[in-house]
Amino acid sequence: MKTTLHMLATLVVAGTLAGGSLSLVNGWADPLIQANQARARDEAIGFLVPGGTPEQVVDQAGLTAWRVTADGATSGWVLRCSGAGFQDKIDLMIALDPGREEIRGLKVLGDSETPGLGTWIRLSAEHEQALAAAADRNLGAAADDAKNFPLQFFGWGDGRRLSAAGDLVVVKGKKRSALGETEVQAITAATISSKAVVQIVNDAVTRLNAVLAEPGGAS
Amino acid sequence: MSKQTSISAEFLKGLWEQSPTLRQLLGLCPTLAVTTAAANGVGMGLATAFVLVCASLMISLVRKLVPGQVRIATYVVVVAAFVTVVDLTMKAKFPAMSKSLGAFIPLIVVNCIILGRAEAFASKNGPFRSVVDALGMGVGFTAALTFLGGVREILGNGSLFGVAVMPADYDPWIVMILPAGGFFALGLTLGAANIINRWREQSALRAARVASAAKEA
Amino acid sequence: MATESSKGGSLQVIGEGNLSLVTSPHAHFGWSTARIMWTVSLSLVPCLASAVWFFGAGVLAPVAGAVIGAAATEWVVARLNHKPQTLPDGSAFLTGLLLGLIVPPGFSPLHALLGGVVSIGIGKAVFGGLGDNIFNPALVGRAFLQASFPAGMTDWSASVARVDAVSQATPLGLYKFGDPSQFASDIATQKLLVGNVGGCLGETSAVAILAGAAILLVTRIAHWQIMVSMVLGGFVFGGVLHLGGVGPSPLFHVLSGGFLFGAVFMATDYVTSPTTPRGQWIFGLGIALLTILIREFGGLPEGVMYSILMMNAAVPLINRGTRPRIYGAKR
Repeated sequence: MKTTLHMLATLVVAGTLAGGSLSLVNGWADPLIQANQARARDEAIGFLVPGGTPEQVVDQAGLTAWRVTADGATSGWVLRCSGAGFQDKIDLMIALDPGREEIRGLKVLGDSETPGLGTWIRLSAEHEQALAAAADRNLGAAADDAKNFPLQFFGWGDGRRLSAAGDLVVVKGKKRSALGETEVQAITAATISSKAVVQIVNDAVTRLNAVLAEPGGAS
Repeated sequence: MSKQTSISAEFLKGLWEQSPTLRQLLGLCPTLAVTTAAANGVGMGLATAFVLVCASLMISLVRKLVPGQVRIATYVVVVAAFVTVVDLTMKAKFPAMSKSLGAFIPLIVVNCIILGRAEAFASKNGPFRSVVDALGMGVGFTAALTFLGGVREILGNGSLFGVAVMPADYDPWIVMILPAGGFFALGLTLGAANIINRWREQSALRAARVASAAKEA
Repeated sequence: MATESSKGGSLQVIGEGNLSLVTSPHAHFGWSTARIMWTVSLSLVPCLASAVWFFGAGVLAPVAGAVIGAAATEWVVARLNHKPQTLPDGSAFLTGLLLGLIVPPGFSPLHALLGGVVSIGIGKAVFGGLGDNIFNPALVGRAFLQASFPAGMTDWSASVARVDAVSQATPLGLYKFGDPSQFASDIATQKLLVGNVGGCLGETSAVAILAGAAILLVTRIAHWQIMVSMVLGGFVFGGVLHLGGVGPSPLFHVLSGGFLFGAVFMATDYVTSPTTPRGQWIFGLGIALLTILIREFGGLPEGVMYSILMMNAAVPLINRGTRPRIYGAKR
């Protein structure tokens, strides 16, 4: 009996102390974690459609959308969406022009693609800097290299950009400059990751258009 | 356990003689999974070392109060609490590192190094000695993970701690940052460690033989 | 202890004097390891010739790289282990040659060299050398290269004029990722037989591979059961799917990619294939089934390499399960 009580008391004390200290730590850490996530989100939106105020208009499972306004007019849209990749979920953001007719940018926020292959769907830090500095947010011919997959979503020079009608298809083995506005050049040896990204983008723009077309929709 | 080993030996044994990775082969899941880059190895090693030191100290302090039947349960509660503290702290202060280590920070709870040291050492020794032992093991684990992460990052990505170290035309061996490369790197490192140990044993034997021959003469 | 190395590499006579013990196998084929290995290497000459003919003399560079890498590693490993030098038995040369023939044209010779090192070092030496390896060493090297240099291992663009317009992709790649209407007209059976299509160096020409197979079968080096069962399996499993409306004709399955090369030169490796005829049938059919499944339902256009490696892993189990009943023993 005495041993049983001793055992119980030990576990209760250990559990209480652990739980109590954890709630203290959580109280300190939780606001910081929230702030980190909010900052990461705002930075991504600010990168994709710079110089505006985002206003969340859609918040559904797998699709969040913001309308960005500057000087009282819509300056662009940002969609956050996710879907199945080669190994795990791909979580990404895309930017649309104010009229939602063309794609203005793509940034992958999280993925578990194969290192050195599928991970080419990510925007490199150098390209991110170059894009932020470019006036028309377009690196032109650099999008011809299949390794610079995300650059296509920013355009490939002369104002040519991908369609935002949800009709993108993946094409293998051709140069970006030889393709049309509904065609996306696949990453060499990572066709599945390329197709996954295009699928997510297509789904997201289609869903956004459907939501905004509803009477009483967020628009 | 009548004769106590020196404090410095207690620390140093974790670095090579009883290195958790190279000699005890403990905690291999995080070793294989997160060592895709040197920085990840450092982060994972330090997080584990922190939990190890705190848990060893705590367990050593309460070792006489905890009844034997529930000691494992108590240890797990203690370890889990410290792991959660580390997890939350990393998420709050080092979000990038926390993201790249993913689920492996919470999984430190089931890292056998920690429960192993608690059971084999901290529950039988005083707080000071336990902390020194945990520090040695933690440093040994961090060193091994950093080494593996460094090798895999150099070969698989051409960089070390994110800085390019290979010539510009180096084509990285992508397999090294894939899971298979973890097994290659770990297996070859263990083999090399065994060879080094064999050399050390042989040279120790030779030295002993020379010494005894000198005594006879 | 004396070793009768001149007659048979594996025949060991223990003890000198009146009583001499000989380890099994007692029924010896009569050929030494070296003679077998060099004969198999000879049987690869047609494939090498077809590679040079279709892709240009430049393909000799990656082949040489793989051979040098494999041979050098074999030599170094024997030195480090203080064992008798095994380089002259030709097994490392053969491994390097096989590896060199299953990389794309224009593959970097330095990468091929690395593949040779991995084939012998990780594919063979760490298991204890020839006879103790679980997996086909050349395929281990190729799997390493495939995972390390995925872009280089799927770049089929380097070839000469004899391979026509479709050389930008392999027939299987066209089938999996290309335009189906274009596929039917571009890939004729005749091209697959001759070999003027895109692909790894030695695998494109069915005629050259069959010439090599003839040498292996006439000299009775390779077990016909493995070759026949794998090809038959390709026809049966590919045919069933084709009749069910899935996939190309079974003939295309067997003639395209590395199917024939794998059946003739890779699956028949003594060390990594079953010892009983019944086991060899299971082995060949298993490889064919896995290959068809990977090609049809997997993410990759080609699956011969992984299929053979997977069935290699199953060989000990197959050997156990198909052990012949000892005469008089209970069933």
